Amino acid sequence: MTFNYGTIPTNEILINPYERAKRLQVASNFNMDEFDKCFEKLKVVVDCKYLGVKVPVKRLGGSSLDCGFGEFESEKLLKNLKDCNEAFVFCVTLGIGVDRLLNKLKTISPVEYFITDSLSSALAEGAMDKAEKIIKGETLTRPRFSPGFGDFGIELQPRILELLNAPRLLGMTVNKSYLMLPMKSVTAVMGII
Amino acid sequence: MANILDAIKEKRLYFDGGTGTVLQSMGLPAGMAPEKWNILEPGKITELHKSYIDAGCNIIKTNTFGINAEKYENYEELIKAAIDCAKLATKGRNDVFIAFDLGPTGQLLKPLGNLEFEDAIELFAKNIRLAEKYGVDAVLIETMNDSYETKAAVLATKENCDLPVFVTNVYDESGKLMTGADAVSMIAMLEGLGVDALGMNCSLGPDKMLDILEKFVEYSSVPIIVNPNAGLPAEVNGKTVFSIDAEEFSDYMLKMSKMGASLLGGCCGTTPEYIKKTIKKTKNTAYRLPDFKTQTLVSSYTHAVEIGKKPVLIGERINPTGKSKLKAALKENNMGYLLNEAVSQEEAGVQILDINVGLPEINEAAMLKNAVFEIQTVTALPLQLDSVNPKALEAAMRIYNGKPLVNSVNGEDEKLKEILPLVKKYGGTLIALTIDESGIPKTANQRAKIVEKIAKAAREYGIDKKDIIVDPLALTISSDTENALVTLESIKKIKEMGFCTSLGVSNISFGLPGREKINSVFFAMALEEGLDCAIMNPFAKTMMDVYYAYNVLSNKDPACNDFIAYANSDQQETSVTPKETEHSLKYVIEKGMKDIVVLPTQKLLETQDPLSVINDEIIPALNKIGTDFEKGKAFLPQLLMSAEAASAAFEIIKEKMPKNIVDDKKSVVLATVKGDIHDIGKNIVKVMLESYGFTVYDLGRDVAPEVIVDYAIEKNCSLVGLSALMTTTVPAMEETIGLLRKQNKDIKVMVGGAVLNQEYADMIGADFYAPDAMAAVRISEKVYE
Repeated sequence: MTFNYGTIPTNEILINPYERAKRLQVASNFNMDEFDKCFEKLKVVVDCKYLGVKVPVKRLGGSSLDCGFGEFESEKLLKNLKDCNEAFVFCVTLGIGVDRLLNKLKTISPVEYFITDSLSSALAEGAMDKAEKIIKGETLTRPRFSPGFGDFGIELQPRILELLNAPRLLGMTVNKSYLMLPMKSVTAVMGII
Repeated sequence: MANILDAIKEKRLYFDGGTGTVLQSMGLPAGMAPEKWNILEPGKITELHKSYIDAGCNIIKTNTFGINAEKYENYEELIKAAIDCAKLATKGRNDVFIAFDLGPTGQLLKPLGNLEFEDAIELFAKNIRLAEKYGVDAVLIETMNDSYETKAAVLATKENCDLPVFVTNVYDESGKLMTGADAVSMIAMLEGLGVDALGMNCSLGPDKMLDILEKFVEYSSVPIIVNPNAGLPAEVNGKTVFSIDAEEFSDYMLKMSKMGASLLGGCCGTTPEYIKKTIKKTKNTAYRLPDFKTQTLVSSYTHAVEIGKKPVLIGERINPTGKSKLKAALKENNMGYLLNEAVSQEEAGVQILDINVGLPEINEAAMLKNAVFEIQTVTALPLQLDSVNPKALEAAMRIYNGKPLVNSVNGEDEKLKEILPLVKKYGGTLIALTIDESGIPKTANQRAKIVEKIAKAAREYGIDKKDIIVDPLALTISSDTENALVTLESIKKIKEMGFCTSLGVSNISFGLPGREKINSVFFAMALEEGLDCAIMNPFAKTMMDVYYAYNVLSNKDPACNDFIAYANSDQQETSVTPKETEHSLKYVIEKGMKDIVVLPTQKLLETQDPLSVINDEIIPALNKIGTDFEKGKAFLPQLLMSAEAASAAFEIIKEKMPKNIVDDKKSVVLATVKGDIHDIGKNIVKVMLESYGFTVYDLGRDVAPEVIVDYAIEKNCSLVGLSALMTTTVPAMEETIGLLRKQNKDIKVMVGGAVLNQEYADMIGADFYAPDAMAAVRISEKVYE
């Protein structure tokens, strides 16, 4: 299996303004100086990495399938992968520096914590957009589908990370509540048309 | 059988190479963990080992990298099988050693993850006890990308066997571990813990390791291990190949051997061919173990501070002596106060933080341990652990992430016996006070004699003088005007003896008026005599002026950069715009201007009583922004900023309020329920409730039902707030409510969180559903009407 992985410079990550507004729980045209100040501090600690592999998609009957990380059931993902015989499985992480910053802000400034947490979630999604472009190149794909969407369970995260060798290559782990660490990490399956 | 450490002294030893790559070529199915073949295909594991031995390597690693008691119930069987395979491969070869391979747990340790430090130690210890039982020659702790987990693994090994300990960590291209530690900080910590060899493996090819190796060569006193990957994986004609072939790999390894790497081997992608070529090219390279290094280092989980190059500031404000607010915070276990002190001192420019929590009324060992752990979550500065209580020092040193500064030891025999073994076990740079059983000597020569005694005793424990910083003590000139000159002479003498020095500078003026005038000049005089570390208050402006001016004048500030930055920031702080002083408190709170809340609050308190300020200014301002929020005219960040500003005003007002008026009866217990670690919503509610004057007991996250119930009853709260973000944890909410109803029907429950709605809330028996933070405030006000 070939691992496609590398670093994404922070200045190459575009944040979707609607995603940003949704996370910050503000109107899409609303801005505050504090948002920019928090973002400047956030940028310094981001170390964004991505990792992806190409896998065969095996349909095993009913809503069971195997995308390289063992058999599981998901009607929604099955539908998403209609007519796809292969898929990219990939992830991004903004790195542990963001977790450290958030841990610090949680203690000393709830406002900065909330703003920075929201901005980093939006940044993680932007990083996924960028990683998607890098990994798929000119290949046509379905929309990416992440654990937690519909019936694609988050309990599959450990298996996805093992497939990607993410613990070794990116230092990513999953805790007992199936939350990934570093916290601002995202995984997805993307069917190849 | 030769001892591996003796062998390392004589000649270069070679580790084996990659395991997964070779086993896959032997038929290991994709996705199967290599350790499973210890039982399923032991012959192939032995064959793997033999292939590397035939290539010439001297150290083979047991196939145990991925084994631990949490992953495998039959971990003992797997480990025994792995060691048996290795022993079979080395049968008859007394020139080949077996290293027990101890890999990461796969979990992040707290505070970043969920694994407790002591649990990590025990998990590693289970493997080490088996390694000792079944017999190996050394332990190789490898592929660790976290300094804290590395420390846990080293302690587990040291506490459970006497085997030599080797450690290799995973560095990225920036020269750091995933959790941020650079090579110098790792060397400082690991040498302090007493490892026998250290270095790097995995992640990078040998080409990318060259720069990092320079740091190892510059700072390491123990043998250096380099086990690189064969570059990066790539797809060529449908096959996976690594970017660096055996020829190029061995060329780089030759370079590294000449640079000073001691033990060589390979990691992912390397095969016996890589090792064979490496051995062929390097076997005639001159072999020299690293020289003993004399740098004095302390470190955190990210970086090291070298003492002796440039003066270092140690922030002294986390010390309860003479500080009533800090004493109160310690008695109330208000960690937030300490954390803010830590952060503000870091922002003021110190390089190390002193942590002293000694109060007779508290359990100092528990408090120091907790304080160190929590402070390390908000700052990456190295810490000085400051206590006269050896148990407190031990508790803190054990869990400290890095190599601490340990304050202190002195010349008393009992003190030496108590403290030196702790430094030997946990590592640390020791502050040595020039006191003995006779007290503080009057002359510099007498103080120097105590230093000699301490150094001699330390040597007996294997602690070198580089790990001792001497504090010759500054006694106040108000009791004897000779004191300053004696201290200055002592600093000079101690420097001539080859030690670094430290001093609590401001002690010189105790009991005198105008202390800063004396402190600042004395500081300059001490720096001129060679003072290396100053324990001081970074908010004492004249001291900071002296620090930056001295550095630039003594050519320790290239291009005057630090001084210019300091002088410029100094100018900005002293300018307060007239506009900022004109705003009313109501305006400042509505606009969320936390930084300028002090002046308007103080102005109001000159003419109004505290309760009026709260009821007529703060609460109406919060209600205004709260109503705007409810109507969609203001947003959550603005609400939070207003709440923070209000809380800041409250802190000032509380000082003016008579104690019996401070209303702590309006209290709320908040918790994220068992199994759930999301807390952002709960934290927002906490901020809002506190800004409205409620006392909030925040129990944190993943809190068991009985803990919440018992606490609410103990604190006599009328309201409990429960938060959950995952559908899987809503049952825990229901369980908590059920338990509360059984024990105290009068306590009300409000629930909130992304997965909840009114219907769910009713279903699980909650009294209230709070869809947002303002709703939680309204509910709380209603409960306490």
